[in-house]
Amino acid sequence: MIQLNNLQKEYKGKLVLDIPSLTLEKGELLGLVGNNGAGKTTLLSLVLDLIQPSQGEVLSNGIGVAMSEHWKVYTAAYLDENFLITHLTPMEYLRFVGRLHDLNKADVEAFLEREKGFMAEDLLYGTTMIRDLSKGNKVKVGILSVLLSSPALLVLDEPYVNLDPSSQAWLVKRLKKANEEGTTVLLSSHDLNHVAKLSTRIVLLEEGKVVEDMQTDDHLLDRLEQYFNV
Amino acid sequence: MQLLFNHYFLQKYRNLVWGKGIGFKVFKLLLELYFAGILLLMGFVSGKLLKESFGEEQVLLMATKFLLLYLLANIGLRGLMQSFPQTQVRPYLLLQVSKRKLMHFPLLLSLGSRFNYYPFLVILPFYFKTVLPNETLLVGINWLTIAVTFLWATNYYAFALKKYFSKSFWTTLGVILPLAAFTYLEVSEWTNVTGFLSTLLLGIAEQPWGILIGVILLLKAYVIAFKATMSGVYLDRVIHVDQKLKIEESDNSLLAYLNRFGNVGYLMAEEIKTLWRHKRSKNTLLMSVFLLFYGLIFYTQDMYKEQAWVLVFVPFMTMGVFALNYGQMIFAWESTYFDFLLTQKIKIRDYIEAKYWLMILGTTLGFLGSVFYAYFGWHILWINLAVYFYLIGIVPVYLIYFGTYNQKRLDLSGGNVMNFQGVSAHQFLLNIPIALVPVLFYVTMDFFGLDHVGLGIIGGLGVMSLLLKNYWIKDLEKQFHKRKYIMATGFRKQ
Repeated sequence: MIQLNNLQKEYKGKLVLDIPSLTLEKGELLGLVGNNGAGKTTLLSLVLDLIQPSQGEVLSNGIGVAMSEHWKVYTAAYLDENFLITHLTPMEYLRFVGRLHDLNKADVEAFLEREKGFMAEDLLYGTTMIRDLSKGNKVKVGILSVLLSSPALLVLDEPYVNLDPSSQAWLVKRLKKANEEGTTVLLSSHDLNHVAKLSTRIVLLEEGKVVEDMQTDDHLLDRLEQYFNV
Repeated sequence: MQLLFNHYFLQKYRNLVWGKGIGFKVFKLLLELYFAGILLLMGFVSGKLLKESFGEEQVLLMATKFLLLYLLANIGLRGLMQSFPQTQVRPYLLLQVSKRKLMHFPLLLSLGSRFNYYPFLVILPFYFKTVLPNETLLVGINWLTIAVTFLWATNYYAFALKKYFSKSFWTTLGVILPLAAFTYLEVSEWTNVTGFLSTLLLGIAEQPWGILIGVILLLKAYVIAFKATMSGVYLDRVIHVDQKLKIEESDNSLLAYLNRFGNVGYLMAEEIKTLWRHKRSKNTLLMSVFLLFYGLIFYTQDMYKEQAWVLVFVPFMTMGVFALNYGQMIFAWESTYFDFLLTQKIKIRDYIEAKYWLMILGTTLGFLGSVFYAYFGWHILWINLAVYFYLIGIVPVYLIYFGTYNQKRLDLSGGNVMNFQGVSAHQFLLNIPIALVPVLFYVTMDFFGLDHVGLGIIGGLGVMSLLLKNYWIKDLEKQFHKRKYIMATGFRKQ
C-alpha cells in the first residue's frame, strides 16, 4: 500500500528522518510509536505529501505521492487542527468532506446514524462552529470526517490525545472494525496500551530511525514498556 | 504591576523579528512619517489660517472648537477600531494577581497608543507659535492641560463604548449614527454646541483652578473605562469577543446556484462562506460594495472628469476592488486549513479554477454595478468595458501566480477592522504594476489622440488572456505544485 524508499528529511542540516526502506502492506494496522521528536509526524506528513523529502520517495500503490494526486481518492487523514475548517459547524464540515467523495446529505446522515454515540448529538447537529468546540470535540469531528469516506488508507496522528476514556475505547474498537473491513491504517501514538491492543504491527522510531519493527504478539506490550522505561 | 510592564516590553522586543517582514515595516514607517509630516505642517500653518478666516480674537476659540470636534469623531472611530484591552491579560487571569490590579495594566498601557499622540503634531506647533505668545501664562498652561487630558479621556471613553460595540451590529449602529449625525450638524454649523462649550472652556482656562476641570474629566473617564472592562474579565468572555456569528443555513440561493457547477462551483460556494463568516473578510466584501461609488468623487468634478488616468483608474478600482483585495490573500484565506485542502480529494486544478472564477464573478458584479456611471457619458461605459476585460483576463492569473509566493498564515478568527496580521509589503506592491499597465497604455495613447486604440489594447490584452485560460490554469497548477510545500510550511506557523 505504502512504500518508503530511501526516505530522508533534513531540517537545517539536521537529519530528522532516515528510513532506508519500509513497506506498509494492504490490510495492516501499523502503530507508529516513539518519544517526542522521534519523527512520527514528519513521517506521516511525508506520506501525505505535505512536506518534501530531502531524498527518496513515498509510493502509494506504486505511484509517487508527489507525482500524482490519485492517492487522495482513497486516502483519508487527520493530523491536527489544520485539517478542520473551523468556521463551519461539524455538520457542514462533514457534508463538505462527504460531497468531495460524492456522498450526499442522506449518505452523511446514514453514516452518522451508524456512528452514533461517539460525539454528543447536540454538538454534532448543532450550530456551534468547530472553532468554539473543545479540543476533544474537535478531534472527534476530525475522526468522523476520515471515517466518513470509508477510505482504503487511513492516516491518523495521535488520535487519542484529548479524547475522553470512553471515546478512546470507542476509537480502538472502531479502528479495529475498519481494519477488519479492509482499511489499511497508519497511526502514531504515545499511548502504548491502545497501540498494543490495536495494531497488527508496531514500528518504533528513535531520532528518525526505525529501531524496532515488530508484529503483534502477547509480549508486545511488555517489550514496549521496557523500551520506554515505564 | 511592574512585572506586567516588563512582560509587555519583553513581548514587544521579542516580536521584532529582524529581517522577516522588514519590508512591510519600512513601508508602514514611511507611511507614518508621511502623515506625521502633513500633520506637523498643519500645526505650523493652522495659526495663520485661523487668523485669516476668523480674525485675531477668535483664533483660540476656533482652535478649541476644532479640538472638540476632533475628539467627538475620535471617540466613535476609536471605539470601532481599538482592540479590547482584555485580551492582553488572558494569560494572567489564573495567576495570583488580583483582577482589579490586572485591569489597570492594559488601561494604563493604552495611553501609550500612538493615536493619542498624533494630534500633538498639530497642537504643539500651534501652541508654541500662536497660543503662548498671545495669551497669559495661566491660560497657556491651562489650555494645554485641557487638551492633553481631554485627549486621554477620549481614549478611555472609547473603551467604554467598545463594550457596547462588541455586543451587536445594531447597538454599534445605534451609537455611531447619532454620534455621526451630531458631528455632521456641528461641522456644517447647523448647531454650535461645541462653540458654546469652547467659550465656556476658555472662560474656565482663565481661572487659576481651571487646570482641575481636565484632570477631573480624565479621572472620571478612567473610572468608567475601568468599570466597563472589569465587568467582562472572565476567560470565556475574553475569548469570545467578536466570535458570535450567526449560522445561516448553507443552502441559501447563491450558494445553491453555484453548487450546480460541479466541484468548481462547490468550492467557490465554500470559499464565499469562508469570506462571509469572518469579520475581516466580510469587511473586504462590504468595502467592495461601497467602493462602487468611489467614481462619484471623480466624475462629479470637472477637474478630474476629463483626465485620462482618472478615466481608467477609477473603473479599475470600482470593479476590481473585490478581485484585488481577495486576490492579494488568495491562498492565505484558507491558510488555517491548507493541509486539509492538500490531502482531500480535491483536484488542484478545480481548486485553482474556483479561485479564478470567484474573481471573475466579483468583477462581473462590479461591472454590472457600475453601469450607472453611463449617466456621466457613454464613453465611460466603453472604458469600463475595456477595463472589465482587462480585469477578468489578466488580474486573476496574475494574482494567483504571485499568491503562491505568499506563505504567511492569516488567522481570520482574530477579527478587527484595522487588522494587518498576515499582511506584508509584498501584497501592496503587487497591485501597483497591475494597475499601472492599463493606465499607462491609455494615457500614452490618449496623449497622441488615439484613446480608442488605448482602449482596444487594454481590452484586447484581457480578451487574449481569457482565450488562453486553459493554458494559464495548467501553468498555475504547475506553479502551485512547485510552491505548495513552502506555502504549507509557512501557513502552519502560528
